[in-house]
Amino acid sequence: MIADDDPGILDAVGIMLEYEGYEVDSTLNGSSLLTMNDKFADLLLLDIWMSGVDGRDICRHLKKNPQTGNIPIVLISASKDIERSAMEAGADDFLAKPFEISDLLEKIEKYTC
Amino acid sequence: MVRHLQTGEIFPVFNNCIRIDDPITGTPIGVGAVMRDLRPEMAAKKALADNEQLLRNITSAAPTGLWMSDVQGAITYVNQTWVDWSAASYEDNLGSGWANAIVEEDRVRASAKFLNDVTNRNLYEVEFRINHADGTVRWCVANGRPQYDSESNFTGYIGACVDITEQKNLQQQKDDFIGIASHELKTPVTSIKAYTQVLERMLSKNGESKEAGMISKMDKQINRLTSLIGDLLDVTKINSGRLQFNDQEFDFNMLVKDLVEDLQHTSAKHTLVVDFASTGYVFGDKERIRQVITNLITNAIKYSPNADKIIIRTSLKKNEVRLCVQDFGIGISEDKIERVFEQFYRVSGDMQHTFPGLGLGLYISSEIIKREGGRIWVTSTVGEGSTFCFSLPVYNQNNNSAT
Repeated sequence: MIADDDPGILDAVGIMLEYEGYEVDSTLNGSSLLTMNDKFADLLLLDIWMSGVDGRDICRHLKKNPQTGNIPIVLISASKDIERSAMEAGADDFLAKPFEISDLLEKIEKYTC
Repeated sequence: MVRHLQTGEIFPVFNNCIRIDDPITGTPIGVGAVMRDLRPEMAAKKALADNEQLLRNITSAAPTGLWMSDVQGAITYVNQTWVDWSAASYEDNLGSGWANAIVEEDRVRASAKFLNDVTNRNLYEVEFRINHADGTVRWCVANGRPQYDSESNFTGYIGACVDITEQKNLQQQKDDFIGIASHELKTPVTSIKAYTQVLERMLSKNGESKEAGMISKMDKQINRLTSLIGDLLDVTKINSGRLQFNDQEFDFNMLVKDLVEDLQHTSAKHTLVVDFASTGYVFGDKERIRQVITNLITNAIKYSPNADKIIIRTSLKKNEVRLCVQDFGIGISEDKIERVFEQFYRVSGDMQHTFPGLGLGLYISSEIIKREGGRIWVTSTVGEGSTFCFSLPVYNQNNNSAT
C-alpha cells in the first residue's frame, strides 16, 4: 500500500512494484489509512509531506492501534534530514526521494519475508 | 563694556582690578587694572556651541543609530535616532542601559560580544533584534571602531546601529521559496526516476541492451539534477541555520575507499589514486562528510580535463584526521584563492562556459566542515593543479584524545 499526494509518484512506483511481482494498492489520501479495518497491507509506504497530513502522525497512530501495529511502515520524504524524526515516529525504515529502485526493493524484501 | 579710544568700537572686556597698598604703612595708594578683550574668547565659545549644534543636527538626521562608549564599554553618547528607537530616555541609554532595548533572547549574546570586542580592541560587529518603540521587533547590525587620541591612547569606541529588518525579511522569503521549490522539484524527479528504472529493467530483460544503456545514461543525468536541487536546498538550510547533523562514529578510510570506488566510474580519463595512512574512527555526520569528499573529488575531475590522475591522501596528525585531494589541472590564481569557498563563486574568465555548476559545492562543503569542528583549505599553482584539504577532530567513544 502506497500513500502519496502526488499521482505521478503513485503511478510510477506502482508500475515498478507490480513489474517486480508485488500487488499494489495506492491512495492519494493519507488519512484514509486511519480508517482501514480489513484487507490490511503487508507493508505501507508512506510519504511524509502530503497535503494537509503528516505521514509521521499517521505512522504513530497506526503503530499504537493493536490491529495495525504490526504492519511494517517505511516513511519516504524529499528531505534526508528528517530521517531521525521519522524513526522517532515509530517507522520501521526511511527512504529519501528520489530513490533507487534497488534500495526500495531491498527494504520491501527485508520487511515482507 | 568699554569704548576703544581710537576706533570708537564698543566691546566687552574682562576687568581684573587689584588694590595697591603702601608696602610699609598699608595705606592704599592706588588701583591697578588689567582688561582682557573678551571678543576672541566669546567667538571661540560660540564656534564651539555652533559645532556642537551641527553635530547634534547631523547625528539626529542620520537614520542610523550612533553611539560612543568609554574604554570600558559603558555608553557615553547615543544619538536621537537611537533614543527614538529604544523608547527610553537619553539618560537611561547610557552606561549599560542601552542593552534594555535588545530583545531578551539576544541580549546576553550581544552584550557579551560587545564587551569582548572592547576588551580586545577589535572591530566590533554583531546582529541582534530590538524591541522598537513602535511595538515591532526590528533586526539591527551594530558595529564600532576603537578610537585613539593623538598620543595613541585608547579612548573608547564610536559606532553605529543599522536597521537591517528589510534585508532579513527578504532573505527569509528567499530561503522559504527555495526550500519549497526544491521539494516541488524533487517530486516529478522521483516519478521520472522510477519510470526510468522500470524501463531499464524491462529493456534489459528483453535483451534490448542498447536501449537499456541509453536509459541508464538518462538515470545518471537524473542523479545530476537531483544533486543540483539538493545543493540549492542545502544552501538555504545553511543560511537560515537549519542544517542538521546526524553524528555517528565511522571508519574514515573505509568511507573514503568506498566513495573512491564509486566515483571512479564517473571518469574514464582519470585514475583516482589513494594513499591511506591509518586514521581510525571519526565522529561526525557520515552522509555530510561523504558529500564533502564527493564535492572535492568531482571538482578535481572537473577542473583537470587534461590530466589523467587525482591523488587522494588521508593522514592522522595530532588529533586531526586529514584528507587531501590533489589534482593536476588548471589551478587557482593567488588573487582568487581566498574566494573559492564563497557562495556563488565560480571560475570566471575565458573558462566560464566550459565548467558547469552552480558555484555552491565548495561553500556547502566549507560550511559542513566548519560546523563539524574542522578546517578546510586549498593550496594551488596556476597551470599545475590544486590540492584541497580538510581536517576533522577525532573523538573516540570516551571523548579522550585519539591514539
